[in-house]
Amino acid sequence: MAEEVSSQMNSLSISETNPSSSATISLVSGDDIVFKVEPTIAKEMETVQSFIDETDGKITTIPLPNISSHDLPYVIEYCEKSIAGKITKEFEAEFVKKLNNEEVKELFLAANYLNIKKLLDFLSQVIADRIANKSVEYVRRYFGIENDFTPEEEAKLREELAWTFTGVDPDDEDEN
Amino acid sequence: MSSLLDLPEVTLDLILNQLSPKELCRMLEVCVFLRDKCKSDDLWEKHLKNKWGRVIGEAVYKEWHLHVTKAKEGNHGTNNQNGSFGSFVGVWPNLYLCSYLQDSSLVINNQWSNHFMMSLFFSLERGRFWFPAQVYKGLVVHDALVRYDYESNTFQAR
Repeated sequence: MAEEVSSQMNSLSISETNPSSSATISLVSGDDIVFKVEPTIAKEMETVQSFIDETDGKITTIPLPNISSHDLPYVIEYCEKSIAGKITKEFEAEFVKKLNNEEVKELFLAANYLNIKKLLDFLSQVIADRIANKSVEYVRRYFGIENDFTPEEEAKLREELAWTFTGVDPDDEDEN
Repeated sequence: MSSLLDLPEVTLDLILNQLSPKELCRMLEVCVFLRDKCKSDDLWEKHLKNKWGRVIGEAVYKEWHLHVTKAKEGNHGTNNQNGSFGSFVGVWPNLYLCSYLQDSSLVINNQWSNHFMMSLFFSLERGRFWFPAQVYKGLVVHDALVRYDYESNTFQAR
């Protein structure tokens, strides 16, 4: 994974030497790694673009304290594909195959922070797929949630749910 | 580990919107916040339309509204011993049955009357609700009360 990130960074820094890209945007991850991207990429990230717009384009270095250098290349990769019009089912399948549950979640949070609509839509489907047919306990772990029901509330809820579906046998296995 | 519940609600809704009725029911059991969230009409209206949209029309929503309102007022289920309830129009002996809810404790005891779409979804799904529909018998169309039988995956009319 570290190799992948550094190769990403190489390909990104190449664009820095391109004379036509004098207006590249520097995105600074939470752990202080600088990623140079084309302005068109920044446009995909609403949060970044509005920051640029607010300063009339004078500021081109944008700190993203909530996003790690591990996650940012994935976000950039997705945005690059998106503006190239190359988001295909195959690309998405490959993209998500590389990510474990925790990474999917972190990317979702990053996409939310950066306000990238397409990535949010895509990852929400990925998360929905990953919790499908899983147990309540599994979902709690996935979402990072504690069970806060009282035993009374739980009993009542079970009674309510007796009215819904029958014969649901979820899976409690962690995959990642 | 960060919790997905820290997300703004509109973002969390993106995930919940992708879930099937079955998954939504499982999410209800996760925590108090999601229990309340996952019953919302916003989430269930789509499922109701997907699954039942082709057989139910405005009249069914209206009838359901009536049952739910009665349940909220607390005068539901007093009609007979098993708590069933029908809605009628007309004056005896020309009474006309508009809809019929079998065992309305579903909407009373479980406070599902506050969750219009979800309660309607499951009343239909579990065949508790006889709703008005037009039934074709050969070339003849007539108004009937219909319910779904989930065990045989068929409709019954009367």
